[in-house]
Amino acid sequence: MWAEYKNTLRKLRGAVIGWGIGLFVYTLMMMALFETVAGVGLAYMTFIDAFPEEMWGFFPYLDQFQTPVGYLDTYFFSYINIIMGILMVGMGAKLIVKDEEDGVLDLTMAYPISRAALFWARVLAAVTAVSAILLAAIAGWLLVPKVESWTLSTEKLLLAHLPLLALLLLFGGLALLLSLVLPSVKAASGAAGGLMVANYLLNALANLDDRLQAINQFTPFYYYQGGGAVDELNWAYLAGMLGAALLLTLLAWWRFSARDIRVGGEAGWELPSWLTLKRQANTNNGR
Amino acid sequence: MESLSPAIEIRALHKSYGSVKALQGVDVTIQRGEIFGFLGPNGAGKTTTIRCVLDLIRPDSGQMRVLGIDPQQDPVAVREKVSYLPGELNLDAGLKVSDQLRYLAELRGNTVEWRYVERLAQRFDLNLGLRIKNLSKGNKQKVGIVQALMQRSNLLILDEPTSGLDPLMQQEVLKALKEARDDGATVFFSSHIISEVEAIADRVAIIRKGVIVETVTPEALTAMQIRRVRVTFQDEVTADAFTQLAGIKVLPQDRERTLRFEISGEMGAFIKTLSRFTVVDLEMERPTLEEAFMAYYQEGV
Repeated sequence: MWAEYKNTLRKLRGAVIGWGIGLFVYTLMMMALFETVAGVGLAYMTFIDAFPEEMWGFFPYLDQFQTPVGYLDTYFFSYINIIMGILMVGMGAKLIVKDEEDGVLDLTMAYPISRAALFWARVLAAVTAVSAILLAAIAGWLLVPKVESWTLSTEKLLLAHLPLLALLLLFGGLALLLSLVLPSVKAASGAAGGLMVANYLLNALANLDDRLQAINQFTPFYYYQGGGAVDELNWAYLAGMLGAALLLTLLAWWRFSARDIRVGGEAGWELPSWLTLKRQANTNNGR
Repeated sequence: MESLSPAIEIRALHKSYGSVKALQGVDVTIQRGEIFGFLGPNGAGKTTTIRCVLDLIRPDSGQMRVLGIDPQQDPVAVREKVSYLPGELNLDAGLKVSDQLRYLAELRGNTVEWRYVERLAQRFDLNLGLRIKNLSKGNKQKVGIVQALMQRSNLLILDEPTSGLDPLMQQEVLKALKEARDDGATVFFSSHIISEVEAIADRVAIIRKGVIVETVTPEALTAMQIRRVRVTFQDEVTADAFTQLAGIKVLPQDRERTLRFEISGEMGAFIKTLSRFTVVDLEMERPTLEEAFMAYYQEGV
């Protein structure tokens, strides 16, 4: 399991280094700019007031950007979820099935490693990779000397990143599950990414129209606190999202442990039979 | 108990991919210490059988035992004792050959002796320092051969091991398989090349359309070795001199002073008869395995 964990981390190191450096530089820069941005004051508030109402759906803390909570939400938590979500969806969809599509998994699985060991080693490596990227972002926040108006404790800042991690794991788990059900990595990342973007938009619109909250409350973004977690982390929401991520990953594991390892030339690159029963039944009825 | 059990025992193995019936009741027993050839045309079910044995795919029904272990009950225990070379070998393109082999050795718990890996690489003329993505198909196949041999496993399962190799390297691989057998290993290898299987196998199972048609000795394979021969003579020669020879079938003439034959089995009598005439040119071709099957089983079985 250790060998597989190391090997998966090696494959993910490009993403970790690229995203880690990018986010580190970004958060470092944004932290350095806090005093300047926060000090703009009234003139900037007038400018924000001129924004269309729809903007508030996406940036609910826009009017508090002079405070650490509003600043972090507006310039980081309100959109980094969708940006890093794209990374996570790709990572989840490729985690097992990319090697299968490339034909590499056939040889790996012929070695004395159980499907459980391979699956969980890779999941653990993915969690390590995304945590490392977030730690790089946190390092950027922490390295700049704090000004007087930055009233946030380091502990609160660290905890505020947990809902982001949970949301990323949830959509990563969804992509992983879909990759083991759908015929290809492309189909899985497309479906999971589409669901994530749709949920992001629904959540923003629900901030503007309360009637949409009836649907939104059944989606992950509803429980994502964003900058709100800086003030007070909702542990129940966090546990719920982590639980959902774990459930999706367990379903993916169940699917992986039960199905054939596919190679080219075999009819494995199709929807599973339980998804095509209706079509087959219709075909049979037609005969 | 394990020492008494066959290396591989397969009973009534069925596997379908949707409406395609890949295996339709495969029955085969491979004894320990033998080289067992698995011969069949493309799409006959060789790879599917092998992948079932390693629990890479799950059969619809049937029983299997590998070195006395049920691969569906304890696949890791089976894979600890088995080395495998896939028919479609794909490796991690970003790695060096040595890193790929070290990673695979780590999956075996680092029980591989690295000096032996280096000796194998030297034997098969494989540069361990090259990146996989820079290797030719033949050199990638050599990586596959080395990873299969490096563990000195009790059972080698090789799917088309000589695919993509030049003739000299093919011979070296076949020689290495014989040595592995002499050292006590069982070798189960698939091929669609009759001469290759005939050269090293102790026994051969012939699979066609998902069913084992026959399990034969290499000598019996010789009978299947049909060849098509076109002979151009200096003068006009009638086919009468050849029609009485056993295993010779005269095919329709397509040129003047030329005769075409289909020959199965030994060629001695044919060559002896041919020596009575002045031969200007002689062309010989080996038909595909499917054609050989058709001829051998007379289109029926």
